[in-house]
Amino acid sequence: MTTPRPWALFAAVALAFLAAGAVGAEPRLFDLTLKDGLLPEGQRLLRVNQGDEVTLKWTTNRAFTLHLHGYDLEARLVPQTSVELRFTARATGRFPLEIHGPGTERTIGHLEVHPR
Amino acid sequence: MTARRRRLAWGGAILLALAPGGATAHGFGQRYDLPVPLWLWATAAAAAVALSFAIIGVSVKASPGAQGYARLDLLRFRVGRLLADRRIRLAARLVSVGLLGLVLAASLVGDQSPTRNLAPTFIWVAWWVGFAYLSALVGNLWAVINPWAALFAWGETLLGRRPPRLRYPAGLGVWPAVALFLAFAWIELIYTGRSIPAQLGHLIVAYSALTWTGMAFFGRVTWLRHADPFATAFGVLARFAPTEVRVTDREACRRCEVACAPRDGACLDCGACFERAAPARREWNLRSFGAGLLNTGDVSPSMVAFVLVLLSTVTFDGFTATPAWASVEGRLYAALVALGDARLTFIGTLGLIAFPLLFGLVYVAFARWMAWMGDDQLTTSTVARLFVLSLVPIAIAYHLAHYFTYLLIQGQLLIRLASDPFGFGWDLFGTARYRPDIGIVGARAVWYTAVVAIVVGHVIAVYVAHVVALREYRDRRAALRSQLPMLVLMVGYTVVSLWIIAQPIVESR
Repeated sequence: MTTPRPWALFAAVALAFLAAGAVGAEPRLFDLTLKDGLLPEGQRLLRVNQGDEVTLKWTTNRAFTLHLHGYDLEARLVPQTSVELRFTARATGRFPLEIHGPGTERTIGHLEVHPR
Repeated sequence: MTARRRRLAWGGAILLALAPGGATAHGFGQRYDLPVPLWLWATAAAAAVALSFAIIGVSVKASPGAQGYARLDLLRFRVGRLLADRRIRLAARLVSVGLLGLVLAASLVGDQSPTRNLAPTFIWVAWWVGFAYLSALVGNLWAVINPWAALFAWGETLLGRRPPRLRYPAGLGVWPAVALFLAFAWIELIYTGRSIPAQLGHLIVAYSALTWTGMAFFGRVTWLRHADPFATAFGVLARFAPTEVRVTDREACRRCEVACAPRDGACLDCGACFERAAPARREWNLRSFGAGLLNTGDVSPSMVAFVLVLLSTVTFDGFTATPAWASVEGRLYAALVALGDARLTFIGTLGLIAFPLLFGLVYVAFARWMAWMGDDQLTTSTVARLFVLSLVPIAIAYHLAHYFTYLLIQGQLLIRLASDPFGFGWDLFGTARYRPDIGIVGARAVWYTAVVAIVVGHVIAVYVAHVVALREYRDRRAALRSQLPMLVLMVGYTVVSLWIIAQPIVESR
């Protein structure tokens, strides 16, 4: 019977993670349309991987200030104009997307950046 | 900062302050944690169960007494003597009093935006979360640097020490600390003004008045030991810590203001005795993690309640950020229209009352079951008192897991605030423009740290309970049988803790 070698298993797992990490970052484009300050049901959770080049392309029927927490990015959204928010998803985590407007302060969705 | 950014910061401030329920569950600031993935959750839960049985299986042969564990006296070394020197302690107290003054001044006269004022970050992140970590992982530092106790003691030195005017009713135990801790938990988790600097300032003033009045009437040490919620909470956490003060001076312990219950001629973790004891009779020991939890001699029924309240509020804090709570809250919110704007406060308060009651009921039921399994050699209330401390490691581990990224990310605000504590636009150390690095630690590192901490905490908890059982039961068979219900309870508690960190964080509406 061979003796178990936990370090070998550990090394294999570590290698697997490294290999996974080596897969290149991808450009990710999300086309997002706000209607009266709400995102459609299926777009309230945006999932990307760490390192991805993320583009959030916004259109809206009402004016808001959009704020992505953590990354601390903001954009002024106005009707009839599409606005793009571009960034590299460097840090992992779950970050709220919030809108600020007259009489409105609301979380409209989340960006999840998953580790590779 | 552009005008727009400043407006945004103010907008955020007003949102935090006025939005019912605030933007987060905990006192202040955002958490950005990703939920622990399902496979990791399942692996950790299975590991907790398997390791539990492994510990019982290898079962320790001889059980050490309440104080019979290995210890190393740091005062035997020059470094230890230097660190424990009176002048070092005085310097630490001066710094602590100075910080209290700074935080109080900032809260009352500084900018009222929660993130531009030192007070909210210092109180909720550095002091409450950070000091809990320190107490559990290093030792009972709060007993040394508590600025309210230091100021009162200096007052006594200056004005002459007067004997306490009232005798503390022994039957009250630590019930006042239980009540005050619940009040504090309400402020931390429910009160919407918790992130407004001026509100925090008023609370500091009220707490100071209460503390010093209590100390004047009942005696400083008595008040700290029975009524002060923070001395009691940090004291409970520090029983897990790898350091202790021990005094073998019978005379000092006899004159101790509180009955410090010396065992085998020594009293443990009584700062008052330590200050008074002859230097040769003092010890400042290293011990293994969790060893202090074996000392169950002074655990009263009110202390059982305190520990359960402490554990349940920590769990409640995590639970309020889960989708499960959001759905309960949503349903109650729709049903309680009549209460209007007070709805979220009302629902939160209900939860904060329900959690300790639920913990208490479950714990008493398990204590009854344990007593029965142990052939009723010990009564249910004795069992409840003996084993409550063994739950503390699970709570500490969960607390570590829950706040790990919060402390690392929100804690960075202190770098900025150190340069501009009042939000007046100063830049004392050139760090006023520092922006927190949200990538300081990756999700994978956070997950493994959290899961390993919880499993290790669980193992220590099972071990502590097992040692106590072997010590207290007449025969080994009854001791082992009594541990079966405890094992079920601990696995349940650990699985719930793991479940919470595997849930996506949901903001309050």
